[in-house]
Amino acid sequence: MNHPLSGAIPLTALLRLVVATAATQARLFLRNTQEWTRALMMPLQALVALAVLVHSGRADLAGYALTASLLFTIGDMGFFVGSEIVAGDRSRQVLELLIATPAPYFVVLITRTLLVAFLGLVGFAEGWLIARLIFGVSIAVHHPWVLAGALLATVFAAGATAVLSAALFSLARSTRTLQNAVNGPFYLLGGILVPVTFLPLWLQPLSPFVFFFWSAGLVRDSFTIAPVENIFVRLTVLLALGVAGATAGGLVLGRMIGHLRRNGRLGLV
Amino acid sequence: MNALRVFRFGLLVGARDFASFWTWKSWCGGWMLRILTTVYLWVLLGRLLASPEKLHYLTVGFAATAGVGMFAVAAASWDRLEGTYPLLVVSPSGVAPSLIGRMAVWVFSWIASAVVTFFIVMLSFRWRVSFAAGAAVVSLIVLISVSTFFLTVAVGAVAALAPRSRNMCSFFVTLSIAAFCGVSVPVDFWPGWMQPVCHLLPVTHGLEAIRLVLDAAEPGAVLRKAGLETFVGLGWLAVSLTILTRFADAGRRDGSIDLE
Amino acid sequence: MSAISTLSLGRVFQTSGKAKEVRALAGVSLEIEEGEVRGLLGPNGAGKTTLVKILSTVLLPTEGTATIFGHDVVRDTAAVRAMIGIVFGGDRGLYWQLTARETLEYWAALYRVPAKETKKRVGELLERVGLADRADERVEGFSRGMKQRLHLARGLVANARVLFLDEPTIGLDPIAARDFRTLVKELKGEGRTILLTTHDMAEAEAVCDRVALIDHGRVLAVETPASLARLVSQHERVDFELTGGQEAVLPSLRALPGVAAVNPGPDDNSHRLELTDGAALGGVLQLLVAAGVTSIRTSRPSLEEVYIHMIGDRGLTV
Repeated sequence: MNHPLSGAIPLTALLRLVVATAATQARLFLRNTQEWTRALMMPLQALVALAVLVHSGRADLAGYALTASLLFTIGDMGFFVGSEIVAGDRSRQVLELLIATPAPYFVVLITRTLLVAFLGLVGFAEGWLIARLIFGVSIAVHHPWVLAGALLATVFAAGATAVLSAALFSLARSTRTLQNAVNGPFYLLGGILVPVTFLPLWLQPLSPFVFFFWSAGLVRDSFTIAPVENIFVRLTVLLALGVAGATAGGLVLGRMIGHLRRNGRLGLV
Repeated sequence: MNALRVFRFGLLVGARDFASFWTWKSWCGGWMLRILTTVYLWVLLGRLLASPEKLHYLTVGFAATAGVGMFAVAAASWDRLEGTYPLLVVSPSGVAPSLIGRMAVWVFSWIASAVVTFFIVMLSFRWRVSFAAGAAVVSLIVLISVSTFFLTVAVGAVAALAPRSRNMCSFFVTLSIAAFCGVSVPVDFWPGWMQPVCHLLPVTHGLEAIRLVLDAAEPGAVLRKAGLETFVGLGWLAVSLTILTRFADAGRRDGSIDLE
Repeated sequence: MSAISTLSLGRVFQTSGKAKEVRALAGVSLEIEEGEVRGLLGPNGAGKTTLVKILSTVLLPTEGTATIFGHDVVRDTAAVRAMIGIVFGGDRGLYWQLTARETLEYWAALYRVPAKETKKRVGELLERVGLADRADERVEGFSRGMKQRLHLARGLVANARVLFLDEPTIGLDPIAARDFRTLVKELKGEGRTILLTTHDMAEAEAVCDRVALIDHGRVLAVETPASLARLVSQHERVDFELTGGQEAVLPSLRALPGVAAVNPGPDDNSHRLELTDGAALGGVLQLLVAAGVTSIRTSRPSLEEVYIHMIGDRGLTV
């Protein structure tokens, strides 16, 4: 009745799994009011940033507000939506059903987190519109290819890192507790609104380990007229941080599922 | 008197809600870390602008309102989600005292967050606050938190009709406070038609009172602002009680209150 | 080769409570042939779901072995997963935001059903479980019975040879439950092997070829429903109702050879007569009719009685 399985998944089946999972996650996201409204709400914080800048006569720094709008949104998609995927599957008792299928759960999860991170790009569009429509400020993109590369690399890094946070958060007694604790430090260290050079010196060495730092720098630079330096290196580091996040996430996920199968519950101890 | 008794039980439920989110350790380590880092995130705009006045303005605004307005609106929906809402509606006490009690727990968290953040952030920038000024600021933070609470009860009552909107409603409360109540920019930055609305929101007058205290203004001016803040808060209390009662009645008429 | 085979299967859980270990399964050895519908009956906490989780590869055993068509559930996980389908009961295990069709299409992808076959198979399944006209509605609007049928369709999407039905009719009204049992009988007719965990005695009697009684992680008995009934009583019982003046027949009944006991029944005026010799039945019936008794019924012990007899009355303790 069934076609036989080997351990490895054929490429066509893998691609089909990725497409079907992405389509399913898109539906789950768009049909969950709480999730898609988050994507639209987060960029509104650009309103506050732009108000401060415009009130101070520094509309020329509007690119900083737009950068923050984008990264607030992608960050939120990662920390809140993407990270809840495993916990959500668990609470709906779908997790065990998914694990019992032939599909590798890591592939299912990273596809879902990448898609959610991609949808966070709405933060860029909405932030730009807020600047234009409410404050009459047009933010010019002087290096569109740098911006495009930075956006895609940021989506990858955010989605890949969300695998790690999804696996870790699913172990927490209360996912909400962790979600509400982690984002502030990451945003500050990443310099998503104000460059990290304005942070105390003792904090600054930590920033390069946070992918937001590289994203924020590249995105802000794409709005400036001056040539963007070290594009390739910066993009590579951003992608590498994403790979590191995904690798760590995959290892935690594997241990988590192993723990689930051995002990009947999620946990690392 | 019975309403007070029910309120206390609501408070108990709220306290258990709080404990399911936070232990003392995670509140102090996790929550406060998030609040402090978020405040610094905004406040450092003052350094980007190379303006000590702006830095001070943003510090006072964001620090004094740190965490204010969060969670309470969502808490208003939890009875709906848990299925206890209809039981409250049909009880002789009605839904208001229990719901308000459950939400009220978060006010204590707001006060603690804002007070701790205010003094830490002010000290980190080496701005000294006298004991008397500090005591006045703490009192005004309490006033701001309570008046904001009454706004969140009104918003929460609306959100409870559509529990899926609770997080969105909560976000709009905190965004409005940050944008329109003098936290990030003065109220007169916004268009003329918006300013009366801003003055009807909690925080606006109370925050001005805090700024007056720190500027060593005369007590009469501070008290006037505090009085206005109190008046706004009581107004929102009246609005919230009206909404709660009307919505419960409407629910009984249109059958939107489920028993399962 | 048996479809499902377990040998001394055991599962111990570590806990943080007073008891450091909880033994959920102990020495469970079962052989379930291909095409058989096996019921697993037991109270809450008996180990039914634990057994299903082990067989569906979601949980590892701590002792013993289990195979599905010869493939070990621990070592040949991939092969096992390709052959099985899991059907839950209740609201769990579904994405409420998806439609029925989307749910099945997604699960088809997870089970590597070729794209070309998916649309047709999904359509057939929806038709089969009676959801074809609701296929494009979201699960959140479904009744309990509809969700259950979708669960079953999802379990069948990969044409599973073995199905695990974990309390599938929980919360269903009698008509929905009956319709579901009809579907299960059809699946049996297709040669699928089904392990069904349930509290519902009527369901177990109606669909199961054999029933395993399980309690405290141990299998107490494995028999056909009829054979299980004989564990309580070898012979038929006679239930009857007496009206005014007919009580005089009771001493005569008790005195008949082959009558074990005559006890009051659950209702007013009702009585139950237990036999030790089936040949005595005729005499009993004659005596009752002669006494003018008109409400008479013979029966064998139900599975519920077997259950209570063997597992015991726990009241509301779970």
